[in-house]
Amino acid sequence: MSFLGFLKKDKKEDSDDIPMPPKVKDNQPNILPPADMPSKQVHDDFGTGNIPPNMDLNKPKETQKEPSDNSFNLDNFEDAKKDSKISKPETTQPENNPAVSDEKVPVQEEDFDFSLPDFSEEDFKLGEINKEETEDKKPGEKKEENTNTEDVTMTMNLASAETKKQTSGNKEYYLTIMNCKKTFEQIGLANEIFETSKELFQKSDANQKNLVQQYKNNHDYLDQIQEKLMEIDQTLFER
Amino acid sequence: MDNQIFVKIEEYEKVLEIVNLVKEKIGKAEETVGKISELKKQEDEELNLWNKNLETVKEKVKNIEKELGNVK
Repeated sequence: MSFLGFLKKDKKEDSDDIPMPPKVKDNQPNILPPADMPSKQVHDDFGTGNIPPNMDLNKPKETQKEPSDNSFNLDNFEDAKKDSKISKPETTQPENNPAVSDEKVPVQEEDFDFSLPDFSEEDFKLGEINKEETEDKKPGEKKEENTNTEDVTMTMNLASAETKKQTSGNKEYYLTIMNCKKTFEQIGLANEIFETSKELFQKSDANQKNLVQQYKNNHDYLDQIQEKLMEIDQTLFER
Repeated sequence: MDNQIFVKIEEYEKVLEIVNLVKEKIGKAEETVGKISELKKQEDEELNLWNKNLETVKEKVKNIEKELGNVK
């Protein structure tokens, strides 16, 4: 006899010892109260009075009640999860503020081309005709438009005059690269000469100062010599 | 020669004005240098004259010395 066989035998023995709970279907007629007895009121969600088939009447009433807020149930947890999943997008949905919608508009318009379309002469003529029509219709607006167009034409004329002045006053002059190089070289040489001449003048200025001092000294010596000669002259002719 | 590259000169008239101003200054500098050279010539002449005078004074002092020595 194998070990597993022994276990099977034990299981059979155990199953014989432990009384099996009676099945609901089998016990249902026994549970049902007699016709004289007042039947227990069972909570009916739908108000039909019919008891759902899965509902176990042996279970205590508290377990059949709807779960309270503090109770933890897997089914309820899953339901809550579903609810949270559903409710999340509602929270993340942006508010329909007009300001937000206005901000999004220019981002979409980035690809627009702002360049003016090419107008043909016919379009201009049509525009003129429309202008004439509107002028005929509204004489009050006619004056305003005339003033605006006059202003525009005046500004255009001024702008064109300024550009003409600029073009006439500022003529463009060009030099060849060789000439430009030569002029730069000559300017560099002239600068060098001026620097050397400046140094020479500074040296000559210092020499001149020294020379002036020597002249003064010489003048003093000459004065002294003259004094001595005068002394000699006086001494010789004082006899 | 057709494919020459040119350099644009901005403020050409201003450059011309500056060149004219530099010319004027150079002319004035030439004048002052001429004056200095004239002064130097005069100075040299004066110096030569002074040298001659000093030589004459030197000779006279020598003569005086000779005459005074003869007296002794």
